Amino acid sequence: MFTRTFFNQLFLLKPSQIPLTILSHRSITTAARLKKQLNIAATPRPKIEQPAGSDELYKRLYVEVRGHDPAVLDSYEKFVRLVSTELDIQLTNIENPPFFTERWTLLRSKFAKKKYWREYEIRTYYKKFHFKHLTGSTASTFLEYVQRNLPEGVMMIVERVRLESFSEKLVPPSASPSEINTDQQRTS
Amino acid sequence: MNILLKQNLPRYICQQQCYLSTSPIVHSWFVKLTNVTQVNTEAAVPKHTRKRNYPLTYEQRQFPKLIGHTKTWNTFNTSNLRDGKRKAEIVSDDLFLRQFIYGTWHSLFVSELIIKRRHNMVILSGLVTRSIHPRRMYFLIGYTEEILSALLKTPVKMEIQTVENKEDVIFTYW
Repeated sequence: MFTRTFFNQLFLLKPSQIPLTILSHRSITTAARLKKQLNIAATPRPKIEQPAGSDELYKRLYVEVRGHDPAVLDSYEKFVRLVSTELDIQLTNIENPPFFTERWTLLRSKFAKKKYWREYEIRTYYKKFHFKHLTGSTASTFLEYVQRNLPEGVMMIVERVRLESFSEKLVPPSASPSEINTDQQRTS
Repeated sequence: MNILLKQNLPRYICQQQCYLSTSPIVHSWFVKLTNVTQVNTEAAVPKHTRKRNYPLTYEQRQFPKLIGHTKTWNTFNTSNLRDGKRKAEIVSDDLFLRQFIYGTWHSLFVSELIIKRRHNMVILSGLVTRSIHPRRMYFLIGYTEEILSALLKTPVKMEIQTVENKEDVIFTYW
């Protein structure tokens, strides 16, 4: 068992039991401090009108492609570059994550001969295309075209980051920090 | 018993039997074989014949250790990739397809059947000899596509290429 120091004792407490002054010394960031100084919560939130039936907006689109053969993925990359230049879609980055190998070490012989083994491996190569600023209809058209031309033995995973209007129920805190401190001291 | 490799050549061209051991006795736990021709065998690697006249296609000459280097697979699917689905179903479907084509196209296929899967489609390719009338070949293509689509519940397409005769695909003699 480790010795109980000041910091160890702190870890044994729940976050609600820790006094606020100690928390504030360790956890407040520069951005949060500046926000408090500027009092950003007091500025009114702009109301953005979205007419009914308007298209979805995608901030980012990540198309990850996996295959056994890196040459096949490279030729698919050429095709996707061509398509994005033709359709005026912003391709920001093409990432090549490292490949993944599934390894099996099995006995070479069916009986005894424990000294002789055989290594098998199955490799999955990755390629990730980063797109930005697409509308819903553009994205669905582009994805359909690109998926129809997927070569055999290649799989695709698509991640989309959509822009949503801010929920009206979330309200910024209006109370000042001094009021919060007095409340804490009374309860503890 | 030792069996002949599946080469459908006329008898006068190939008299030599090339040993590819598939004997059940080799894989038995209570009988131990010691003869060199049956014990020192490797899958899909034939042994040299005395007269060196056993024909091999280019694909057969590339032995299994070269798969991934200069030889590629005969099926293309995504089941073995990371987070790939339907591994067992694809393997069993492939075995069935190969046996079906081997039985339906009587000694017409000269290469291994190549099975490609795109989305839910299955595309079969291979080399076929022009030993039958083209009208019969069109019938065979339509028949296989229809019956396999009904059996596998996926669209099945055949994209075959034709060769004049078997000698065109022989690469070496082993």
